[in-house]
Amino acid sequence: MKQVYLDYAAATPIDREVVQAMQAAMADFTNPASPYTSGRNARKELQNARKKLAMFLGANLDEIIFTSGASESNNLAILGTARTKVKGEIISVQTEHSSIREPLSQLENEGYKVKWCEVDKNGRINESQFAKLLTKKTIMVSISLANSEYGTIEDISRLSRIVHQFNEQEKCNILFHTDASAAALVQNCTISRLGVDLLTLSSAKVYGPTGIGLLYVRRGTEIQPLIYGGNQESGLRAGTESVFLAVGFAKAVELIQKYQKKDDEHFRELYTQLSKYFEQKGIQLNGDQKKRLYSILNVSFNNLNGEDLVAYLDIQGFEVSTGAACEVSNQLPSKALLSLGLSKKYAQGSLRISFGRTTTKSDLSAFTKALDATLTILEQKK
Amino acid sequence: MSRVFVGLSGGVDSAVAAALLQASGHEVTGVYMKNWSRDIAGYHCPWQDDLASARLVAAHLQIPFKIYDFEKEYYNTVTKYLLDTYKKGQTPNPDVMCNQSIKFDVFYKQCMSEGAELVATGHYARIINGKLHTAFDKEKDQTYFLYRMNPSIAQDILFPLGELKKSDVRKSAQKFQLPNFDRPDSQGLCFVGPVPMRDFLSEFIQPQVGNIIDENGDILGQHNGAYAYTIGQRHGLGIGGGQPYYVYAINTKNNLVHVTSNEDSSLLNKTEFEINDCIWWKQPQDNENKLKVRVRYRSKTIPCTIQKTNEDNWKIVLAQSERAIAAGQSAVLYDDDLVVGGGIIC
Repeated sequence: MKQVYLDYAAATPIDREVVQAMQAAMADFTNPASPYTSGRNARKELQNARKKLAMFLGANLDEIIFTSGASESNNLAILGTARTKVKGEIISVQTEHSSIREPLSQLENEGYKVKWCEVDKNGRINESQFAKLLTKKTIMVSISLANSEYGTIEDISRLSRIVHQFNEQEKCNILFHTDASAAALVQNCTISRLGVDLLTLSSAKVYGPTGIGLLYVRRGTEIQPLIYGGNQESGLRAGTESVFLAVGFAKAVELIQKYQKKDDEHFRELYTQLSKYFEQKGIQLNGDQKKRLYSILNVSFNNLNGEDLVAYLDIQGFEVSTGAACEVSNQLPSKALLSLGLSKKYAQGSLRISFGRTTTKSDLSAFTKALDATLTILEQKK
Repeated sequence: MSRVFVGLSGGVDSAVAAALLQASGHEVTGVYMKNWSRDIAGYHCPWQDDLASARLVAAHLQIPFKIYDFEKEYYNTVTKYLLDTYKKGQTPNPDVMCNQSIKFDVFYKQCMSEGAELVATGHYARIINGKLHTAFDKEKDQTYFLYRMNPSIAQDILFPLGELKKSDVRKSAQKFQLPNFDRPDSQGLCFVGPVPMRDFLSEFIQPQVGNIIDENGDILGQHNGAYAYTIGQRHGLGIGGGQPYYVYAINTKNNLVHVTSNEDSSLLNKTEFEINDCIWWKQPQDNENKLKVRVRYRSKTIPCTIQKTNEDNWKIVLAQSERAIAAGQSAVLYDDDLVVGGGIIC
């Protein structure tokens, strides 16, 4: 049976060029902190990787902090900056990934206040309500560049401008963090465009190896580490750096630039094909249908259970999910979809199909055939 | 043909049970019972994998799938009973209690209230004319765990595997191309998965150092809590050197573990014991002497005479002595392959 993987939002395969780059880098096992020749060489490799990633973001070398992945970057951004203050308010949205919601709820336990900004039914932030939430007590804003469940792209540049204006008027220093993990393949992630102080990037979502990510930290930002030990990563993240993972991550990001235009067109085509199929069936598409990631398609079925659909498709060789892999394991309806105002029934009947570089139109035709068969079976059961 | 709800655990047995019922023309619904989800003492609870496997089986058979959540009921009946029994220095049997209080009580009732006409599980046992009989596969027979199920619902219960050998069940799983055909049998307790009982108990009962003493009252060593020991236990006494010792009594009140090095000691080998809290599928006669008794899962059955001592207590006199008869376990009586009933060893 042919296996068709359609869950690229959960994890991407490692690009062949990335594998080659990592294999070459693996030959050197030296600790990049060591003082002799091979240590210096390892350090140089690591810095080269850092340089490529800094270039992608238009950032300085010392602003790139390697982490173990997006979850750690999000935790470092939120806990690391907030804890330099005794208390304060943080603004975010309920549609965020759990690696943002959970550190925020930890901060609430520590006495900070979290203000949740409303989103409309497409998952877009209400800008005037957002502006009203800013106060002199606000210390940080954390809003993702794109949502990984239903794909809506947020206008981070506009939101960060609102924050900058407020900072100037009120003489305060509210930090802006964005998680760009889901968006990085097709969105311009330069810091100057987004106007953010902190940015999360993951290797595992851009055809790089799992186990590495980065946090961009604007120079001069007050932040403290989560992991103490050696002085690696400007003292912000102790632990021997993995040179080969950094090399792989950098190569993957280099390839983003190479493939970006092609990827974007490819995803749009696939999205159009599949969204037409769902529209014809009268099945509800979730998220903003214009300003969105075309690599992620999210639908909701009324009266069908998403987990059942996943199982039926799985035994026919099609791998899709009901939402963020970090959250489906608890068997509850997606918090992000509920925040869009979807009823529990619709949220429980959701399916996320996400495409990759090698997904073909015939993959999707086969998928819709399998889904048709599944829906027929499940309709009869009702 | 009937509307049958089948308890799907994610394992092969229940999957084959569902497939067989469907093949014989029943309208089958699969139900996963969520009884436990907590990780214990560093062991990962595999419920999500079990659930995913059960769901795949339902999808493969194209049958409706439901999840019943009995975590609270399970904790309040099985787990509490388990802890209370250990605290008393006895050896509980959570599988017996789970069948009595969960599978053939709340689970059965919810199935019936949601439209089931019959309820099935992948147990190895047979029900004939409303009576419980041992399975054809004597190695797999599970009547020891089932004797406490409510006899009055037996006519609504199906055990499709009762006449099959385990090897046939594996073959059927392949024939039906079940997605979990090569999944290993679950090990240990149904809910704690691979967790050793001692580690499980240490999450709930504070360990407390006490003495291990022999039949002369000499202190041989120390233990971390008498409750965690079982009658007949040989290993894990933590006594260094020489001959093996066997637990013959547990005193949780004084936190003492009594051991003997004499394997043939009458402290360890008994010819009679009492049971109470009995359940009878067929009311026995006082002094009946044609029955056989089983005192632990998969142990051989022993000819015995049973004597009524009072309203709900019976004395079992064995034809030959048996080792390590543990209070808290069940004694189940058989008349050939018919389950007569049984009770809890006092």
